[in-house]
Amino acid sequence: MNSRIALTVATLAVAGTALACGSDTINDPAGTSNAVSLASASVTPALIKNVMSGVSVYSMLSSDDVLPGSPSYVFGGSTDGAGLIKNADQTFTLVVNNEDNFSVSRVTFDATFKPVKGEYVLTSDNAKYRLCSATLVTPEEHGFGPLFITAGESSVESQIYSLDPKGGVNSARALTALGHWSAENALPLPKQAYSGKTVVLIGDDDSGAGGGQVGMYIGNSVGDLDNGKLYALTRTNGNVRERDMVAGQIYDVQFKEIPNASTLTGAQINSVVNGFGAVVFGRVEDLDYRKGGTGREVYFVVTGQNNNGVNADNSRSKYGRIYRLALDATDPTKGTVEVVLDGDDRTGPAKLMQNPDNVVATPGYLYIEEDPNEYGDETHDSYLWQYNLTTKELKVVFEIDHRRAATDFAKYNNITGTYATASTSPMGSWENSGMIDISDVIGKPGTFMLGIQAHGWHAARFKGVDGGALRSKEDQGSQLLVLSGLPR
Amino acid sequence: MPSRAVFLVVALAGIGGVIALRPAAHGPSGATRAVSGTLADIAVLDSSLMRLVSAAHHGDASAVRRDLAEARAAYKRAEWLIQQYTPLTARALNGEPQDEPDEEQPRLIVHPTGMQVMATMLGGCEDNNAKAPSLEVLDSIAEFARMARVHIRHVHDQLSDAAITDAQIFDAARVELARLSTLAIAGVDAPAGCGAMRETAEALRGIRNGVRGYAAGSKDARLFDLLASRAARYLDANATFASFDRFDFIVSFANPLAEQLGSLRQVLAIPILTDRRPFVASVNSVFEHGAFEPLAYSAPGTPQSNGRLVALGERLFSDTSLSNGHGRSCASCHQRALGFTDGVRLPALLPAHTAEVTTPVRNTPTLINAALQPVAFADGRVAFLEDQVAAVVANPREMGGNAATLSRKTRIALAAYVRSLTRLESRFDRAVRGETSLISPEERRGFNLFMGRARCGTCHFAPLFNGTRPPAFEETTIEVIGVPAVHGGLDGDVGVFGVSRAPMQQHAFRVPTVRNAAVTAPYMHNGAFRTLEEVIDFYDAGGGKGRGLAVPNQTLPSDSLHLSRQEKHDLVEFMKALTDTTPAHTRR
Repeated sequence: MNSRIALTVATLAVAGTALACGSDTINDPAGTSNAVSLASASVTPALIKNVMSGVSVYSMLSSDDVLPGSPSYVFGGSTDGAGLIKNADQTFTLVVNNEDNFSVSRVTFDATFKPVKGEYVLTSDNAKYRLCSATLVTPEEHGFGPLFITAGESSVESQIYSLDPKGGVNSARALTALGHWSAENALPLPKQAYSGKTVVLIGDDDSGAGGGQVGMYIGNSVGDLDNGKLYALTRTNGNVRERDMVAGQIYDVQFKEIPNASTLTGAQINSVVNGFGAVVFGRVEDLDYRKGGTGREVYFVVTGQNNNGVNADNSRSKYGRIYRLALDATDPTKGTVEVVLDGDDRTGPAKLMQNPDNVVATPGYLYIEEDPNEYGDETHDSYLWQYNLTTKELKVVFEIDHRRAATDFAKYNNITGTYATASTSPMGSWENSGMIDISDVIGKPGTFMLGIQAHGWHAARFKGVDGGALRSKEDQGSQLLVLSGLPR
Repeated sequence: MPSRAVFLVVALAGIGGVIALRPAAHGPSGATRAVSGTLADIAVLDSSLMRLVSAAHHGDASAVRRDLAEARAAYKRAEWLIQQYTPLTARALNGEPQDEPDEEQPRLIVHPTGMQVMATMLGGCEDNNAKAPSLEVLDSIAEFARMARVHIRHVHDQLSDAAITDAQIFDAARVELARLSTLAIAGVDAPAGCGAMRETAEALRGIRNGVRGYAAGSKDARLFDLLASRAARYLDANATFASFDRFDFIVSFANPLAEQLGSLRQVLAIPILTDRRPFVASVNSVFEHGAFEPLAYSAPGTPQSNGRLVALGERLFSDTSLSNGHGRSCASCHQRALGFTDGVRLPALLPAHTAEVTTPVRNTPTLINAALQPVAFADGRVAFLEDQVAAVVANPREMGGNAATLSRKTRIALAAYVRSLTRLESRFDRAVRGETSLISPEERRGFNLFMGRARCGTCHFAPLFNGTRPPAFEETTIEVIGVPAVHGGLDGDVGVFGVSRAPMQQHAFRVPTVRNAAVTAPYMHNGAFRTLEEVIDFYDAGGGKGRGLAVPNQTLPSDSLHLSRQEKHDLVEFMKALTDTTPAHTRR
């Protein structure tokens, strides 16, 4: 605790000296003024193209930027799950995963929303696993927090962590009651979903023989992440084959308890849920609940896996699917599931979908981010999709720009670095990731933040930037963008 | 957090058996004691590596060697719980020193880390006069040690946080005994076999300490303790890798220990874990009858087998109507009299009358025990028997059938029939279970060679003698050995690369079973070798590379094994003792 307090003070002190209007000088108890003025702040061009009309793009931060408050800090590669908090002094704190660095960055934005300082709040030595999506838990939304919940996605051994977004460096805590999964994200439902309970949905990104599951944790008080029970999604008819579910149908599901889950290893959790008939998905990735509603309408992404090996029978998705999970009003273990978008229907509305990965559910839309699996049949570079929940219209917001025709092509497509590699696919080897709705936090409606994982961008100066020993050779660069003018 | 802080202080001080590490919330005293003992070993592991780093910085190679040996011994004592709870970290700490392709980006090579890499860099065995490593080498060894210490801290945290039950303790001990009697005595994690026997003894001591907190003084506990201590002494007293009698160790120590552990568990009424897995949780020894559950290799949701399903599968197996008028059935190539193979180099093919055929033509493998592996086909392109059945029936060059009309029930029935061809009752199996007179001295020597100096058992793992890796039996090994084409040069079949697109897996193949090899000639994916003697000569020479072929990424060591004529003979005799082709009976 001591080190935690000391660090918070130090953070404020640095921010205070770096800015003309530090915390000491701002006194705006009513919070009426909004100094946010969106503008690109990065030296790196936005690595996207074919942007939907009416949408403004701001390049906010990349691995090439030097921040005044932390000259030695380098933003890591493969930016992913994130959460943004507004501070009492009108500055902002962004907590964001650097997936392949196995670490978490904390970036301070000044009151105008310009990044001014960065540090690693969790390094590879402490995170230990690949960290993908994440969820920021706040008292306003969830009834407890603030906590940044970030999930390990490296085999059945992985754990899910909780860290204080303003706490000390490397002070994350493993949430052992949430079990061991190859987890993409652990998503607590908002406080209105089930009063007096803590319900967390878990996406299991497992491509192995047992497949990916949708997991659930239920704690019997608000904020209880330690004493609850663990469950996995089954269909009430016992059918475990994902693609036996088709679009246009509604299927009854039940979350079955994994008995004594806290005493089980990850491998045992896998075989227990396979034993009781958990639905076997082709890698469950991100999940989100629809904002502004009951909190019980959840969307989850299955990214898909190739039709060989364990999926030779096509029982799991190949190109990816989006599911809606509607949970019962009083009993979170009951509900229905339906296929909202089916990438495997190559003549259907989502026929161009290439392995969706992350999802944001606003009151009116889903925003779906792609991470193509490089089958070799990709027709485009990774898209951000917009799906209108009312009209069911599916549109492209942007396509990632690999700078194929640009003079700086070689910089972003460097295949000679330590971890660098030529893609097996001509298109779509980069991904966009970790999208969050920041409208309410920065007071600008229709504003989102997301990351570009430019997997071809390698440089020696990006090597091991988190300071940990475990990923000391990781050398990718990545980028954070802000998009405004997107409907919610 | 408090336990973490305590751990670091202890590690820095280099203190060993520290009961203060015992976490308060671990429930029954047996498990608590087992965990705290293991945490103490983990503290020794950490402090040994800390000393190693310092010795490396001082350029003191002999101190580095000593510290690594101490670290490895401490790791082995803690291995049973490290493997149970943190298998990924166990691999990072003591995995095979081999490059692997990245799972998501196959062109990316993941380099190994851990103590085997460090031992390989040091070169030679402890007691050999190995060349002194350079300062650069010592520096990188120190870097690996620092990384290992990060992993060790993590293992400590996970073990401290986990709610470890008595059932887990007994399961972990049972699984570790299986690991020792299949991998450790074969030197799988001991580079060049150095220290394999002594390290196996340390691992046994770890289990012994772990079980000591249970019913100490009772007859069953005393018996287990005595056996474990005698087994460790036997290993220490017979520590020479080349001459260690593995057969005797399994029969006299490993199997009785597993049985005694089971008795103790039963007496204490400690429950068996109920999750379904290949090495059945209720079985004591991996060499026992009924140790394996073929259905654990099926897709989730596959129905339980039964006599009627197997009978239907058996009928369909000989049903030529599946081949769409080509007059073929499964039994055309998988002939029972030949151990369910066809006795020819490559199967006779149907004329290619359809569009492109992309699957390579390969030697017909046996179906006996084909169920006991997590991937099918020599290139591993499918995982489950149901899918393999469908692929062969639909292959226009093999059966020429129609996948679309092949019902799910037909696939399930055929797969159930193949699962029923699980036969682990060879003379060797019965001998290792106690009927020792059933095998000859030559066969026994052959087994010891297979598991020892000839290095066969480091890929064809006991007791299945295929590539299914003990003790979880959930992964298969693929290897590049450089099999020549029949008319010379490296065979052109790219193997696993055709599926994974990982360049380092060009010409890699799934390791097949050696069981029933006496009746399933010819051998290798292309049937290049007609006799077992030819096969042994190939390995003795160091595979394709050892014979002078250019084999990129050969994983088989290319130096000669220098096997004598007698040793080659003994190896062949042992393989002949693995024959069991008796008619299938229906399991369960």
